[in-house]
Amino acid sequence: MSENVRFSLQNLTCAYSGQVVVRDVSLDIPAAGVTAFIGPSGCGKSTILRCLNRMNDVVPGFSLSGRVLLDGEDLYGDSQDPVLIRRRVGMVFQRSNPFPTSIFNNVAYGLKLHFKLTRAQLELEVEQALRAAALWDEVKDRLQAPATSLSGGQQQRLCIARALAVKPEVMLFDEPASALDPVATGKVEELVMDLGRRMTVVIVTHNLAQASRVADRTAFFLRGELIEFNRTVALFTNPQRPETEAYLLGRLA
Amino acid sequence: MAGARDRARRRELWAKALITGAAMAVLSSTFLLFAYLLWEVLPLLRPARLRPLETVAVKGSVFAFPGELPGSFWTLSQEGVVRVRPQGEAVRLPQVAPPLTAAIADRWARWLAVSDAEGIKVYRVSLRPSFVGQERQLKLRLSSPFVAAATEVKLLAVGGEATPLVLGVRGGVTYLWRAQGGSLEAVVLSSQEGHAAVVNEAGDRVWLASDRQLTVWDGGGGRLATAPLLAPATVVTLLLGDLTCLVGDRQGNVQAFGLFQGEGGNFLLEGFATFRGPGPVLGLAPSPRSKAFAVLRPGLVQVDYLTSGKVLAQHAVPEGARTGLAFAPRGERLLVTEESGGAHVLAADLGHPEATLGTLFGKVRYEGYRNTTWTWQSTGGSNAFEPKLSLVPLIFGSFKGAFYAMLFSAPLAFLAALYTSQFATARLRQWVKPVVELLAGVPSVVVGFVAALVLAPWLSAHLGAVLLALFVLPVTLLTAAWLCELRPRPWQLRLQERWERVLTLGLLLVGLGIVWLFAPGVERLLFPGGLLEFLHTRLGVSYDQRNALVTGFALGFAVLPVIFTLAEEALSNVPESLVNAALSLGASRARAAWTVVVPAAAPGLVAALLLGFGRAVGETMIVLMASGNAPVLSFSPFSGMRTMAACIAVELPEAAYGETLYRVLLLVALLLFAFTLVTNLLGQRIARGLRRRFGVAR
Repeated sequence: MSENVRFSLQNLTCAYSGQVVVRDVSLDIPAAGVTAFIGPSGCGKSTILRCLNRMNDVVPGFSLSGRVLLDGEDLYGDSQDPVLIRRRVGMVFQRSNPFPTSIFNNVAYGLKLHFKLTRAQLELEVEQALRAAALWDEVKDRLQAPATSLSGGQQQRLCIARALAVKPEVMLFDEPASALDPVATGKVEELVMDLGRRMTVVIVTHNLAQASRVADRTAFFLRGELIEFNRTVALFTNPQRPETEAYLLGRLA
Repeated sequence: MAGARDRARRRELWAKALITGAAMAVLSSTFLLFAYLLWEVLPLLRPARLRPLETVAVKGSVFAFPGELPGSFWTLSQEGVVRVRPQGEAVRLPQVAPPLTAAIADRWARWLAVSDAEGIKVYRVSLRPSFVGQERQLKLRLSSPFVAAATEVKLLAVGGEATPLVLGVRGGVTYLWRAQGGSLEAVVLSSQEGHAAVVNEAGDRVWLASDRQLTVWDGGGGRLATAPLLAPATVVTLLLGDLTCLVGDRQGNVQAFGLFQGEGGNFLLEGFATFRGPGPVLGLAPSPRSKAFAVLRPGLVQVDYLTSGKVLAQHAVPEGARTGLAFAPRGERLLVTEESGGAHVLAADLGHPEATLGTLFGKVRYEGYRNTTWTWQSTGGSNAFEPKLSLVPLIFGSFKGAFYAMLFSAPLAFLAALYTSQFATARLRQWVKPVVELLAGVPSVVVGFVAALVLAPWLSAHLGAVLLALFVLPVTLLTAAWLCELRPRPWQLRLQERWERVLTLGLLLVGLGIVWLFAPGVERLLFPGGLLEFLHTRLGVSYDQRNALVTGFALGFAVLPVIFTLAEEALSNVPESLVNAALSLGASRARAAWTVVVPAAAPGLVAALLLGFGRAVGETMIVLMASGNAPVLSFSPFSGMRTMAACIAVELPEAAYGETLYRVLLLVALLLFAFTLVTNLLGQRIARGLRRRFGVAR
């Protein structure tokens, strides 16, 4: 089991300016498949997600205790460079956030940051990333068009392509479809599942149906604590804890 | 219920009307300001005009000249009686022996020379307005004559200051008569026959034109310089100020000559302009107000302007008009006399001949200059001074000042805004922003005062240290940055901000200390005679105490808050989500700021720079006090400048309403207004475009 664990959270406690939002969470996220974090708003699921690539570092007043291991290395260890971690652990946010530039430049941004590529290599990498995000066919004729000219769903897939371009080992999704219509949501979900077959994917969602559709495993959080973590099917059909059952039945706001 | 709704609706209507009204008021006041400026500037384009006023019979007179009061002039009859019109006072010339055979006067009719039965008599004429009861009348005074017992003389010219000089031809020889006591002594000036001559007001230059040459003599009969003519001369006169001699000839040319002193003290007579026209030149009259002059040719009188070389106006006169041409003492009327005894009075409205598109913006050769220049010199010591109204030095000065201000403030404001918006803690930002914005509230007169009276002398005393600091401080800053990177890792998380600040400030202080300690020594070592001396003697750079560096610093101080505030806003308005996206892709905070935030905020930054530039161009008080106000065309950081705004502030209070300078200054105001309007509109447009651009992403 141990070699299959990608992230290992050990007694993770997080606080913003002294206010504890995540309390003593211990959790092993397997390397294969999609893991979903569910729970009501303010339960700390996004905070935990952002601990996985140290995106919380830039939030003023954030503090953390406990350990977060990525392949056995402590992410918050003294010798760790958050910049390198973020290259290994890609992230897609709740609202699509393309840079105000062309489609091509959006995908190329991370590549230019980390690699010295010729124009041809760059074009090839951009195409691969766009294909991996199932966006290539829709944008191949207008790569120089502004990214903001795309629809909301396309913009979100562009952000996924942008993250995939730097070849991360892990992809984190923070409610990636919450601002999208059902058709676009379906496409993003398909993409998440597809990626889950090739890499570690962690997705935060408030949409239970979405979690049940895309996730192999699901963790349920409540008030900053991990209540239950299990295979998705097991968690949804046979919850072990009364809080989980209450939440699944919609009795917990 | 219905009543309450009605009231609410009425209130809304009122509010709407009020807001619309206020907006319209702002718009219309801007428009009115523009319209007012335009209204005051447009008369610059008014063309000059010659308009016939009256024709008077002056039969039997040998001379006529216009007087100072409207409609007035005076005549001299063959019997030697001077009549002042319209009052009709008649005075007989003292000691005259009629009949008169000829009479001439100088350009302004201060000296009158007559040829009577006994010889030549020269009178000092004074015709001044004075009150007789309630009425203003011309009061005539005539001195007792200077006498020369020389008959059959063709009089050429009279003039001089305290005592007269007379030129005349007798028997083919040109004589000069000079006053010795009450009589005139003759010297032979030239063995050739002169055709026309003029004496300057100081009485120390005599210009004599013969068949093919123009010669200048000093008052004692010494020859100074000679220049060839295109054709035999008919008339010679000096323009107002006595710098330019005009020679009219039989072929219709009017040539302009200037007398320059060459190296070694010898004189050079240079022809620098020629005005052509049909028929021989019969008369020339300089305007007593400007560098305009009237030319009489058969059937036509026209007024030309020397500097611009333009014909201002022309008017047809009878063919027989051939004896006299003169401007009234105030230049508003022109008198053309005919041999047959008629005098035509023309109203001469010359407009604003000093201000043409060519003189305002082009390179102009002014009187007394040997090259064309762009010069702003609106007022001089005497009435004869020609205003030099080139706007080029002022526009240049404005842009130079703004450029140096931007050179100082733009990088500082931009980097400060970048730091404050991207890297500073919330607490530091809460401090920095209001403090910088407070800077904007410092009255510009205080900034200007400190710059002019404290900074300028200090800078000239410590220029070496400042230049050294420009080199040392960036090096210390880079060292600080390098040291920040070297620190042990664990500090990075917690002590980051504070340590960086302490280290940077400390190193800056050390750098300043180094500069302070070593600058005098370095300066002594490199420039044994001092840096300013070195600049002056070796590089030929003159150092003005109030210069572009001082102005740039002071003006930059005023502009910095504008750029900082707008740039900070533009940078802060870049959505955090974009920074997060960049960070999540593995960019460092600095890389994210540089590669995502700055390009995304670029339109806002451009707008900030534009508005800052607009402010710098329009700023008045600081440049007025710190720039030295010399309208020079040098880009050197060590020389001053005169900006458009400062020029208006300095000169408008001195300019008489309606005169050319007044209108040109308002033209400068109009240009300034248009420029700041355009930069502001452009800046706001770009800023608005930016907001629209993030409308979706935010």
